[in-house]
Amino acid sequence: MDVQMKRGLLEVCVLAAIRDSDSYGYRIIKDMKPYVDISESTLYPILRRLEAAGYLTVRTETHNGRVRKYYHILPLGVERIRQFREEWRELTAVYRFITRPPEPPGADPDEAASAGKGERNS
Amino acid sequence: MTKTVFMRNLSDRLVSVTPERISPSDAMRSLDYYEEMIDDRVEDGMSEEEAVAAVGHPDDVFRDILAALPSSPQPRTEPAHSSEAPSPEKKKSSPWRTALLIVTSPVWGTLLVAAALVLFSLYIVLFALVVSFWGVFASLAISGAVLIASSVPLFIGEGMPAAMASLGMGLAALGLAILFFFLCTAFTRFSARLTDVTFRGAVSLFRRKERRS
Repeated sequence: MDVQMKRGLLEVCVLAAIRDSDSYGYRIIKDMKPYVDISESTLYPILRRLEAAGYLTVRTETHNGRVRKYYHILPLGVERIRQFREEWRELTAVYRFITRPPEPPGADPDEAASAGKGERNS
Repeated sequence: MTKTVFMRNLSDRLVSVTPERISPSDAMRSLDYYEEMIDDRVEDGMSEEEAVAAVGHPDDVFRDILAALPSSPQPRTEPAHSSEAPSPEKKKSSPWRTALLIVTSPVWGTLLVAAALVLFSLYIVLFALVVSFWGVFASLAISGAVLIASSVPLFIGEGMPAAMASLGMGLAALGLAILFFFLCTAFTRFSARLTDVTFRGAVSLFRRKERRS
């Protein structure tokens, strides 16, 4: 996948992972795993970027005698998810255009047959 | 690789970078992050070795941290540039620089000593805080234990209400002591890492200066 596109998608994924309840790094990775595989070192810059952009805040809590960072979504982050869903609607329209079946050509019976095949395949 | 070795390797690489490129607080944050990741994996049932392996090699992690820095220049091109262009200039100016350094030494020398003393006093304050935190923990634990133990003779001598009051206060003190224990360990870790990072940052600053002149 295109790097820029994947980066943008992962950002929204991370926001979605903390949308319902605050979460910590390892749990975000685990929650996302069934859908998208993300490594620690990929997640870290994303979290920093989202924090800097005001999409989430970080708070520190003690857990089992050590410190753990919890990420909390901000209104701007919720807005980003909503925005993404709108963008996605536009994208699916573009996708439908890109993958539309080939137009039936004129009178040539051979080409009409192959066009029919293409339609069935898609 | 154990967690300790991994963390040491990573922090060695982080302090080798100039503080302008990665600030000590950024370096500390990323160290905290990777330590938390390893701890969480271990808590999830992995062995320490597996957890460290899953996080990645310190070299790769370090490269990712640098690549993720805002407005960071390409890590590869920078050393190549500095070795080509500015080095002859630096060689020319180096006698002047040393002369200037010697002449101005009464000024920067005292400033340097003052800065070192300020840093040192900050460490003393930090250390005193750590000690006092542990002191609070110890006093809570001891008073809790004594109050619980004294509830028995109080029960015999004074009766039920006094014994229950003593037992209750003792349990409350012990509970606070447990809370303070976690607070203390977290704070001690934090101050140890802060000391480590700033000290090594300061040392690396001087090393570079020696090499340049």
